[in-house]
Amino acid sequence: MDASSIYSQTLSQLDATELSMTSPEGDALIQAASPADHQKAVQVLLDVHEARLTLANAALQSIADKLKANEQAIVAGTAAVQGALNALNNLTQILNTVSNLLAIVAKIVPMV
Amino acid sequence: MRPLQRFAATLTVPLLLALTGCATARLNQFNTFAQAGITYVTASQTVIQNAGTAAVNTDSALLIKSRPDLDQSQRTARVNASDKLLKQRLQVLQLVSEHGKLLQAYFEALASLSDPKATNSVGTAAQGVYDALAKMSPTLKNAKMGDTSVSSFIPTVIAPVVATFKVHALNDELKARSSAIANELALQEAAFSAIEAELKTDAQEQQNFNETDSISQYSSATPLPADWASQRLTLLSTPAAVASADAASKAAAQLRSAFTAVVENRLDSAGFASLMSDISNMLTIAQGIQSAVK
Repeated sequence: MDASSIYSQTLSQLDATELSMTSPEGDALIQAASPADHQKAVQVLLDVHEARLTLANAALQSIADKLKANEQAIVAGTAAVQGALNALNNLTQILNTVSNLLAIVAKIVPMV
Repeated sequence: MRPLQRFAATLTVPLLLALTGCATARLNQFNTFAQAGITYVTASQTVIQNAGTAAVNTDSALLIKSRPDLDQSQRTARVNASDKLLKQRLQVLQLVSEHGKLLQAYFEALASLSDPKATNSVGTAAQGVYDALAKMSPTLKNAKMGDTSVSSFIPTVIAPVVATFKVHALNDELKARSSAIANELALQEAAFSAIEAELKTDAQEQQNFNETDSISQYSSATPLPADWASQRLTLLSTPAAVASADAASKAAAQLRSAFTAVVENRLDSAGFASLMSDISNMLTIAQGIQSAVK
């Protein structure tokens, strides 16, 4: 089992524990417990919640770092596609300029 | 015009039209993929937003519920720890969101270049040059290729040239970036799988708190709130949306499979319809969850 599978399985377990403890049935058990057990259960629930936040943050940060490492390729791809689009636009612009110039020449030529 | 030239000219027009058809079909594949990508990124931004809101709201609800059981120092320690972790969560979600915007810019560039319906401005400009030259040259004005005047022939010649240029540029892009894009879509799938797992837990936990409140209201000796029954109906019918919270990672997986189809030149209308249905489903569910995690 690799590190990411251990992370993912532990996180799933923490998710399930927190959901079970906050469910109406879990809540009824905690409410009915002795004051000492009730206090302990609340602390455990908050500990589980904190662990869940910590572990999920670590898992997400690890993926975000990999996404960040891929950013250069995405930016380069956008620039390459934009470059091809610009080349077409430039060609259009050049042809339009030539067309306008020729239209003026066509008006002048008969006068000469 | 000599017979051989005339024959060649009559062959050229259908051949050019056939070439335009092939290039247009390929452009359509790129455009379809790009449009799906844009829609996916837009919908995924809503999922990210929901995930951040759900994380903070669930944490607040839990802290409020446990507050009576904590002394002052415990309250301070718990709220500080949660604040720190939630700031980290929102920051990392922001990173994923910002990255999504870069991906959106990439898909938008692909969509612009591959748009087969876009006005063929190069063809129009070339026609303009020809018309201007024809005003100066009667020979050019009356020139014909086969039975077709050269003037009306220009857009037919330019269209496949432009389409082929676009396809060539897009194929080059695919060749240069295919592993990076495949990797990107796999990472998107992993990111949304993790985001949705937590979103699902947070949404379910808020649901748990609401259900517990509803039960307490019913069990207590005090009169029931007037809207107790309608609130209960809302509560009991929400889990369907919560259970479908994995739509974004599914859509990312479909997008990856569509990308493979584009690379292999086999993305058809059925594949596209299925992909768009997944993405549209993702948006609908994300909007449904939005109200559940508020």
